[in-house]
Amino acid sequence: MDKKKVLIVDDEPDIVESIKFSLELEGMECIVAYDGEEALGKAKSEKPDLILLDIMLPKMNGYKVCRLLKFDEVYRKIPIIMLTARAQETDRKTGHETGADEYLTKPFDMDELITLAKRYIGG
Amino acid sequence: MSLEINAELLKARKELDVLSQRLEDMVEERTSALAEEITACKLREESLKKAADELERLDDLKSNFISIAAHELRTPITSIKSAVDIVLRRKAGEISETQGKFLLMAERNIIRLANLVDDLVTISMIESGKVELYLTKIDLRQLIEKVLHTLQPLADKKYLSLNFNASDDLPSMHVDADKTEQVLINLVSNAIKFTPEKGVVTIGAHRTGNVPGMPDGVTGYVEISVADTGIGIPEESKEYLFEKFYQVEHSLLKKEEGTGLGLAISKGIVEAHQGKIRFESNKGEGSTFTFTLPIIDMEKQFYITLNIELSKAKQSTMPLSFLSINVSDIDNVMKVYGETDKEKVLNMIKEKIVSFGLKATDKIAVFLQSNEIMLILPETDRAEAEALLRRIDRDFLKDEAVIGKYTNTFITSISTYPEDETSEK
Repeated sequence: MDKKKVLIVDDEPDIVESIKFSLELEGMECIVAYDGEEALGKAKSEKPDLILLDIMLPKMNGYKVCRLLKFDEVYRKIPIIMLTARAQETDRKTGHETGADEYLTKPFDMDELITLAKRYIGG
Repeated sequence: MSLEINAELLKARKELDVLSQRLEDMVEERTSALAEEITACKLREESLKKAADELERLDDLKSNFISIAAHELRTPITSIKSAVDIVLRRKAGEISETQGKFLLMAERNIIRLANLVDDLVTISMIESGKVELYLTKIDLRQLIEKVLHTLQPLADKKYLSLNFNASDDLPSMHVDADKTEQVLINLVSNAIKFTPEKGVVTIGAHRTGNVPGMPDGVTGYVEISVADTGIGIPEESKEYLFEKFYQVEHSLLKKEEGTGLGLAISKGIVEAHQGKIRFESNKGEGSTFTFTLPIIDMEKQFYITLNIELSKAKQSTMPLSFLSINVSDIDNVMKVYGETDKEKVLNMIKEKIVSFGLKATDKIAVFLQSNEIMLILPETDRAEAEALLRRIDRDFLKDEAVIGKYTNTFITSISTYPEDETSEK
């Protein structure tokens, strides 16, 4: 069986490590990026099955990464789950309107993240 | 004879000289006094202005500080929670029951801390008058049902029944959905918290009759009530109930529950919507919290705003611009976005326009009927409005990587005060 590939994007290494650990336990392959440009590059070169995308990122914010991917015929189909903070409600809306498939508020529940991830990649 | 006249004349001239000198002295004296006063006034004005600027700067700093602090706190909170989650859910190996118990304690308090950070950000925005409402059209019934669904497990734990009675004539409303949801969650979870086992919590929603003195653009109100059969509010607490950090003490409650900000936040949110919140309660018999939300006619509201801004501009002799962007080929745009909901697409475009750097005083609205996006730009002259329009034009194309697809899609027009005063709509 082909392993499903997930791209985890967050500038906080601790968060990336926790998510990576948890998803790998579920049998997913994880690649990571720590800033927006790296995320965009890896999304295009690695063609992941799912992207977990933080909003506040160095170099290019998560909205922009999301928009650029969602407006591109080739990459539009990759599901994107935005990781966002609750109090930034208008951000959250923009997250939706940039075409993100789902958002998860920080601090999120790891089980909820896994359930969501599985829903999008059918694992 | 002529000598006498000469002497008289000389005397008179001397007197005149003295008088005129005195007058000149007086004028000079008054002038310099006035000048001093003017200088003093100017200085006072300047120092007042400086003080006002400084206050504004400090206020901004405070708001920024809180939102930055909140973001900085949230990041480590997320890391801690993820790490604890992993161990607690036995993903990093078996743990003992006691270890699990203490990790649960840690997790519970991390969540509490996260809620507190969120509430602090919200209350600080409310207090500084910076609550921004993001009005969207919602189905209130659905929103309430969603909240009840979320809180059902809490009610089940105490064998409470959660009831919902909505009248059939509930209109769709323009409110800030997230914030209204927050008010509902606060009130309903309070009701659950303060009601002993096997009690009843009832949520009601209905249109109120027309209220005299409704603001223009408001066509009515919806009243939402949350009633419980709980312990009621002690008389001595009633006065302080909406104050921040006020918590009613009761043996039914654990100290750690809640941040003491819920009701203060709810009040702030309701009032930001131009609604009202109140409660009735008898000790031992339960409480009912009721709040109203206005039913807003968005188009009417927009023209009211336009008129207000226009008269402000006339008074202050500042320019005002009014921009209309008609999305003529909306079907095509919907295709580009892969979206079937017209309102969503127009809102998407609106969001994008906002992201092009509108000022806080700018007003923007979407008119569904005519597929138009309208902008009121106070203190903006024609040249600036045209520059904004060019930016919208150019950045839309660049940003979306859909060059060419938007050609001829937007039909735009600008009206400016004072130039186009006669062409006021």
